[in-house]
Amino acid sequence: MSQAEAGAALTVDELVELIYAAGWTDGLPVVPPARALVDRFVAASGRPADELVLIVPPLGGRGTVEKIAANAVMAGCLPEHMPAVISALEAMRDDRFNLRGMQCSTHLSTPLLIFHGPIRRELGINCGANVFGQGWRANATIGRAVKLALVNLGGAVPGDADKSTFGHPGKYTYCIGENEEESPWEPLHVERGFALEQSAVTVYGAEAPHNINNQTADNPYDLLRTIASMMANLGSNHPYLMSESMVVLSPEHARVCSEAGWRKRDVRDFLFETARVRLGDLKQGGLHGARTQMNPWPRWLDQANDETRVPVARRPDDLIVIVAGGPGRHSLYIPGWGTRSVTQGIGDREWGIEGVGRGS
Amino acid sequence: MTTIARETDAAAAAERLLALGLVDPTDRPRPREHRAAPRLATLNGKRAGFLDNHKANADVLLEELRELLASRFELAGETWVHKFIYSREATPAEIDQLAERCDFVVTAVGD
Repeated sequence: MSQAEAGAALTVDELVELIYAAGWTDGLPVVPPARALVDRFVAASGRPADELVLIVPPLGGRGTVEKIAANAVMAGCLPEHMPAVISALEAMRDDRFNLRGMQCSTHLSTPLLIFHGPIRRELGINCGANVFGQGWRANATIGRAVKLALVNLGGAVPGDADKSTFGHPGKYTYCIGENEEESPWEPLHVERGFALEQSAVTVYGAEAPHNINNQTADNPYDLLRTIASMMANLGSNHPYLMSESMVVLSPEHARVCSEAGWRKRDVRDFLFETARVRLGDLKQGGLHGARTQMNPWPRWLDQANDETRVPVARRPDDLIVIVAGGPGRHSLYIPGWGTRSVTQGIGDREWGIEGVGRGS
Repeated sequence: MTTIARETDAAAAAERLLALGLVDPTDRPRPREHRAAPRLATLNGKRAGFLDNHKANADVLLEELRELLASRFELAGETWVHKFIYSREATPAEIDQLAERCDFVVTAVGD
């Protein structure tokens, strides 16, 4: 069939429907990945079209720059978004991220992308009000491009290879910027060894955000006890798996802590000590019920005593704390899944080539 | 619509889109060639392997199966591998161990 014959009778809506029929979309309409447009995106990446960025599990599709570009076009990206999209996917090559497991699990986690450094301003990535919501093209399309690439190239089709019981809305797009300008502390990429002026992206396997409302606390203790109570519950993975999880403080909540002289480390230490669940209660649920000895718990935890207070992480550093969002006295807890987050420099080719980003 | 019908339609749609000059955003590699091992004529005298994915009840299910097999066949031994992280693939070393020591392997997902 020639191009002219194939396209002769197609209207725009027929083209959109044909792309639906091909199974290329996430359920929303896409921009058709026309050759000329894809070539522009490849050129903007600064890389050869056939460069392999990652093999995408579970089916092992080849995530070349051209394939990633096709997905970025479909997501509605601009060509200049390509380095951000590629770096996020590069970060997922790190084995500690367990992309294969995340693509297939019954759990609902999906990669959350957190951008750091100058690229947030260059691309207009929202870090402030409604940061997890709609309304910003860069957040919407960069996150969507990454997810489209993971599904289209990895074959993680919902209900098929993707066995998620529920999924969550972040599986369409899940992409924010850290609000570095309004944070009293160093941003996450700086904690992980990058320079402040280096752009970077952190990928984190994440549940949906859970809001924490505290309008009145004027001291860190009251505020962080509120947050800790949201973190410590029987339904979360974390008292059982003790993997990384994330607290997103709004700028106002972060200031309550910083004005009392608290550093980010103090926040983490307090939450580690306070967000705990009674061991006897954990026997009612989780992954192994009463067989709590099957949980990967540290030796120092007294498992013979039902009164032992079980933390939600193995160590304070596994509680990731960032600042994002706009005005208002709310913060968020974003439970993870059971893997480690990875921070990848953007344009930092050495890390990409090695396939190992910088985790905590 | 059956899965096969849907896939056929999807393949036809994709073919038409590619003919229009669109770039395929998917990459479905050809399935790796797997051949089933020759079937065992009997389990009598064979070495059993059990691969437990470490989810709740996987070991319970496998223990039951082990007893059932032992009651029906004269097994020539058994090897157990317990994965530590159920969401990860069995390691090459674990697979090699099973391949070396077993004539057949039973696995279970304990959800």
